[in-house]
Amino acid sequence: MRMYIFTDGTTIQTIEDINTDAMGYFSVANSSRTANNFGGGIINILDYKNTSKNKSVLARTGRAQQASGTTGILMSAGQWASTSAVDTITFGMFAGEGNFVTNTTFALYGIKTA
Amino acid sequence: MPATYNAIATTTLTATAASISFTSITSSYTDLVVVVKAKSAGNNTTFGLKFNGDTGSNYGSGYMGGQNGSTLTTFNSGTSASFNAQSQSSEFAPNVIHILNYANTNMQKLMFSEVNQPNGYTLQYCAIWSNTSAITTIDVGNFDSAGNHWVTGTSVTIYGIAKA
Repeated sequence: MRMYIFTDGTTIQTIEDINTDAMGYFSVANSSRTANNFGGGIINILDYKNTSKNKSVLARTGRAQQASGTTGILMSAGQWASTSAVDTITFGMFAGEGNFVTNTTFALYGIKTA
Repeated sequence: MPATYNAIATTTLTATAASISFTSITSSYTDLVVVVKAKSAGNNTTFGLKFNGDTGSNYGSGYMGGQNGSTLTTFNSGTSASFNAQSQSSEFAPNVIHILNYANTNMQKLMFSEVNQPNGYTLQYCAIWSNTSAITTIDVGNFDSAGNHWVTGTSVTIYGIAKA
């Protein structure tokens, strides 16, 4: 399941999808952008190894260019309906939307238990 | 803060000022987080970030959010990456700005922030500096007029997020 609220700087839209094969909607820049213009964001996976809970994700992602009308801000939530501990994460584009380009980066951090 | 957040520098104003500057920022982190608690001497609630002394029109900033049941969204380009949340009330409004890959010379610099203002705004920002240079200097402040400069007690802290 995944849902989001999105703006292009002019209007705000929301959507919810259930029974999906991946969790989360995240925003990236596409091929219309200059080579060095990337989208990005911060994704939090809550209680990732808690075997009593389904896994939830909260994210704020987006893309921007200096020119007006080329922004996108996306806040999203999602759920993986499984209580298994997360030990593998795969990021990918939706089907038919191409591949990540060279210099795309991901950094994975763990937040220590108090 | 998680243990991966290292405080690089902090400044608290002891007199009204247009901006707070951080220089010689090390490139040894993955991301930067700028925590602003600010109050304007005037009625302007927008402030900006400039990087590496770039005062040109090389920045863009947009937001979406709400206030008292109304939705808000816009996007602007300008001479700084602009954000909201410098309060005009008795409160110092908070803003946490996350700058991604600030030292990566293959990317223009993208940043996000979340804003909650004492007068009822909640906003999600996305902004960009259209430059691939590593960020080594950050000026944070209200650059538009002296009447809106930041008051005593306004503080800015920069954290570096440690590389894996």
